[in-house]
Amino acid sequence: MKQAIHKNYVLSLMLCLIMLIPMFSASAAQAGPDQYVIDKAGLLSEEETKDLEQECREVSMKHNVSVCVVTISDFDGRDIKDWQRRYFIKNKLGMGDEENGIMLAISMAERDWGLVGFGSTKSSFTTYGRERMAEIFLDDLSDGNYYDAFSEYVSLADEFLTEAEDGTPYDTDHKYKENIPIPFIILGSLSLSFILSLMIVLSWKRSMNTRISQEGASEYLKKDSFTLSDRSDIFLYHTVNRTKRQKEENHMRMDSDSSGTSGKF
Amino acid sequence: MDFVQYKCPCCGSALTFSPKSQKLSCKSCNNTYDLTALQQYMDDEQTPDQQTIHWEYQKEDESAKRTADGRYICPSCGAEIEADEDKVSTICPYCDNVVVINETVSGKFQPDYIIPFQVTGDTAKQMLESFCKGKRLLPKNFRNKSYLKNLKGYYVPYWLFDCDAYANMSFQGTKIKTWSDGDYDYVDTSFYLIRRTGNMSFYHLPVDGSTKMEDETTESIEPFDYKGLKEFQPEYLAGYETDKYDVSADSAEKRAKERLCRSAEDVLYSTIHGYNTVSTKRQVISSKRGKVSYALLPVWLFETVYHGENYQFAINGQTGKMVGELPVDRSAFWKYLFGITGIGTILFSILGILLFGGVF
Repeated sequence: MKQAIHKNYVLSLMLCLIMLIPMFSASAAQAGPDQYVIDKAGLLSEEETKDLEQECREVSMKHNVSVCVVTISDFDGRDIKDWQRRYFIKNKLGMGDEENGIMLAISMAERDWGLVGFGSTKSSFTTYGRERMAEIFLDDLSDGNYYDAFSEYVSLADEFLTEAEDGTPYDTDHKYKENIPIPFIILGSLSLSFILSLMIVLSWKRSMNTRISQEGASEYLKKDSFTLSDRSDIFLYHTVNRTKRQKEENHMRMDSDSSGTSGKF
Repeated sequence: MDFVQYKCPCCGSALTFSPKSQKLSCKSCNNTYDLTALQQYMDDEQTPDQQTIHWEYQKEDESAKRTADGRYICPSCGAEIEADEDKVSTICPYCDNVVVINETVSGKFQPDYIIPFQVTGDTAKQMLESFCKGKRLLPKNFRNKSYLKNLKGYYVPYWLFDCDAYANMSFQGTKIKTWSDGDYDYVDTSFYLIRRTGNMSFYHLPVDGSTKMEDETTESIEPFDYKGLKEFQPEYLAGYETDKYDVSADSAEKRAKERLCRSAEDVLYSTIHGYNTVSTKRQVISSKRGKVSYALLPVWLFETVYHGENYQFAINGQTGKMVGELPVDRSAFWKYLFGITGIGTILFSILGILLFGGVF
């Protein structure tokens, strides 16, 4: 009898353990990577890294999507998006069964940046969405305000994920904050109307005065009285001025595929 | 031993003669100069601007006869009337007839020519009325037609300048070529000395001889058609007001010269082609056979004073050309400015919110 009770106890314990295995694995996947901010290029101070790590962790936990930032001196490849995909999988940066995540990477050698979505998160960050996010944080990135750029990216990722969870991810038919605020519209309308009305009223005022002083006396030049008695065109000298051509600004050029967008900053 | 030094027209450095090219060359900017071209350039630089334009006006110097007390008797009603000493004709306040004052249209004040009125008073009134129609900024008192009573037929004294002009001018012209390579944009500018000499004749260039008329007004109603020019006869003055000139021919010459020189420059300029830019460097203008005539030319004149400022509106009494300045009602100006701004703001705001406000 005592032996039977012991057997049952062992079986129950094993059953519990078997049942707990997927729970542990699920919670391990939900926990996400150890580090969300990997600053190999050394662009952030210790405090900035800590703050950014905290921001990334909070947003990642909130949405169960890994929001990470990677900086590197030189990714040593042709397409930073491909490098990001390899890096993301190799370092297991995703969250959940589908390894969900969004990764912003920058490489300082050629000033490349890439923004790639992973797992089911791809649908939350459409091509339009990634390009729109980049438009917003690229100015800070180009100016070397790396913490501000990364922080902006994390904040945008939070907004984009929230909107996607509501079933309306930002896309060409649902644009992100491109509407002009109404006070600006009214102010713009006031300025435009004032300029237009000033032009109209001044044109009325001008029509009240039709006097024009005569500059010359061509009306009083006798017909056919002009004879040209001498003419000469003498070459004197020439000068050559050389000015350096402005290189085309290309930091806003972007290259997008189905899940990633990249460019230069 | 004397040294002759020539300066580079481009950079001002000293030029040296190159036996190989038989030209003068500049070591500083690498330009070379043909000897003849450089000599012509130097001649041009040393010749100052000149305007030697003269006109002659000779009349028998006979002073105007005036009565001792300065009054005139109206031939129609016999009333004693007063007139300014520079009036040629005036309207009798008693019988409304025009009195021609013979004393002032004789001697040195007698005009050589006159162009009689072709545009009638009624036509002039209609023209002024239609010009004022629809003018939203006109003062309120212009809404009734009482202002039309101020329109008067008026012979304006003009000096007519004739001459044969000789103009010798030089210009600086540039031809510009541009090209680019991978790193640089290049602009090659070639500088030329352009010289033109020509003769031309001017006939009856008018300058008004009355200080009462604003030059801008009298010049704006030009031109008059000189086919209608007639020998002066006082009978033409009947029914119209006239002043004798109070700006002498000598004083009017300055304006005639300005306009003549500008026209001479324009005529020579019109013979220059193929340059990107042309600017005038030197102007030598002289005249011969300069002659001045005195003429009375017909103008319908409307004058008014508004807020202390004088406004003149004139119609060429021969061709009907209408010019002038009408007063602007300042309160109407601001009313329309803010009114249109308000309506525009509402309309543009609605449109802006619909299109860019994300409402739809």
